[in-house]
Amino acid sequence: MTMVRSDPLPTSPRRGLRSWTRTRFERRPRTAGFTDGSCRKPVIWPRDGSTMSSAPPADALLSSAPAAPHAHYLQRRFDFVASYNEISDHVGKSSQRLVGCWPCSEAYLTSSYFAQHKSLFDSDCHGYLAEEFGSSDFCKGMASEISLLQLSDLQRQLHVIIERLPIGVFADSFELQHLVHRKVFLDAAVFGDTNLELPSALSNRSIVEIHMNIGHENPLTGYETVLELPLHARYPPLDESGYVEVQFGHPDLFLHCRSKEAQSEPCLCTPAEANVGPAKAVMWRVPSGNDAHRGIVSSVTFVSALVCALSIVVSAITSRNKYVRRSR
Amino acid sequence: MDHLVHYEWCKVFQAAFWYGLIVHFRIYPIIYALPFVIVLSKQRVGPSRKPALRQWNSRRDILYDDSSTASAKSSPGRNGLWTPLGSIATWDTVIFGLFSGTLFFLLTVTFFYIYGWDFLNEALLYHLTRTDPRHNFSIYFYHVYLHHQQGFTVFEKFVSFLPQIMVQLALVFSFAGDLPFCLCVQTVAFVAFNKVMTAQYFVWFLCLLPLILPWSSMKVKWKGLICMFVWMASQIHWLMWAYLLEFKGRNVFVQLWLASILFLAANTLVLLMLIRYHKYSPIFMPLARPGVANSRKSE
Repeated sequence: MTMVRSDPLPTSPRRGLRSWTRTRFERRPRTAGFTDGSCRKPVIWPRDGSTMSSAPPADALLSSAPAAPHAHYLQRRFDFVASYNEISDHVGKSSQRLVGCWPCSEAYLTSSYFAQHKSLFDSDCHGYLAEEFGSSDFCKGMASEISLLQLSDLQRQLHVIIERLPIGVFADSFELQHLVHRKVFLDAAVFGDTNLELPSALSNRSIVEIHMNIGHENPLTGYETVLELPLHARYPPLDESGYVEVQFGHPDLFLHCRSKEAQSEPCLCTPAEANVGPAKAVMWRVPSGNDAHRGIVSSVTFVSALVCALSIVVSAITSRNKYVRRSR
Repeated sequence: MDHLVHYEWCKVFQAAFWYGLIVHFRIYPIIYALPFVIVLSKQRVGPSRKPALRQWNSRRDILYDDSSTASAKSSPGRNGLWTPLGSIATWDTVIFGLFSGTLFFLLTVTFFYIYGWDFLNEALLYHLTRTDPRHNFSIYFYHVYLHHQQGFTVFEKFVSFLPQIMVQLALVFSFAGDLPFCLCVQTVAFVAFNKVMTAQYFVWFLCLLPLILPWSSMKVKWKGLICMFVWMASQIHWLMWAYLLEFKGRNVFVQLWLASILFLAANTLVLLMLIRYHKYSPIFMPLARPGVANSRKSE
């Protein structure tokens, strides 16, 4: 189930403008959106004081949708009111703790993480981001300029969401590129273990970095956004209960800004985290194999293969001998 | 005579060229190497290296008289299961093997030069170390998943490969003379007993069916329809459990594994039916003994 946008979507082959505005805050079935070729852009609720008939959904794991039939969807809700308030509070002050710098030529913030670290740990990732932002040489030149900037001087470019996937969960980079192509995201990339076939015990974690341009007329009023990220589960370690639970942590959220006047590097980023839905963790219950089955499965598998093979061998020899006898 | 010898050699080179190219594109046609070698052996081609193709009438009856049948009877061991190794090692088989192998090697080197280790890993080396624990049509997927953390012993690897090698050798030595049929049943068996089986592999043998169906006495009604129904129904049954596992997240590993065994049984049944109702049709005329007439009677 998902919420309908308050502002009209581009007209799609199946849905016209009228149906969107009529069902302003109604729940609608999941089957719409991807099946008709339109892009499922992030849903936005305005924070302008209007009464909403129902609250935006909390973070959740949703079952598959037609556009990505093998995937489940991780749904994240972001409250950008806090982000913009923090920016407006801290722009004008020189605060390297909350405002960091990043070369605009770098396409992704986390692209070099796995060049420095072999595996992903949440603490390492936080330290990496803080170090790369704060101590970057680019920031030093900008430090004196930050205090002079006002919010109106910034050209807000994009939001960057960094999702550190737990072990046993992966994102298909081809699927994400398909969503980028359909303009659901501005850009998306996966870093870390991208081998889709490996089971959980033989794989490492990965990071998904998503760039979105959530345009809104008045950023100072704030708004909320729901993001849906298609994910897949690896085969988990064996468990006698038949299921393994995978827990998702909170993502990191950044706002990528650039000074309007100085288009040269660097870009500014605030790593201050927006409110990301309620504190309840998202859990995914993934089916797993049972170690107790090992003996019987191996035996029956080999016996079945042997029986079928012997029947084919006997049939081939019998058929061949029949031809030889007939030709004599 | 020289230009005739040159023409025969060109045919062998041409065949070897296409075979080397095909194996470069997809590895699985390597299983056809043995039947090709047997067909090119001395017992089939003969010392003249100019075997005559069999002629068929519209009823798929062989166009030869009793004298050539007598010559077929009088060549002991030629129709037997085991072709002597000495008769396999002919100029044609050696040229075929060397030329196709060299072409395969050259193409591999060329693409390694262009794409580097990525090509070599993805095209060749990956198949040596791959394990496929994720669910697929093969009966081995659950066995592989249950052992993926501790690995396999040499004995377990050998035992899992044994049915495949048994079936391949039996089919090759039984039907190599009827080359199209041999290639088709080999492919069906190879796919059915493989460690991993996905729907794309079905194309490998479906494209060969038109070559063998004219020589099958199995009628569409009802044996043909039964074969099609059994094969498709067992596949749909497997897909139902796979849908519950992958789309709905239900633990149905055991049911899915049993469905894959049922699908193997269906593949085996179809293969047995193909063999049972096939009219064995060697592509070359039997070799005539010296002094025995080999006239043909036309329709």
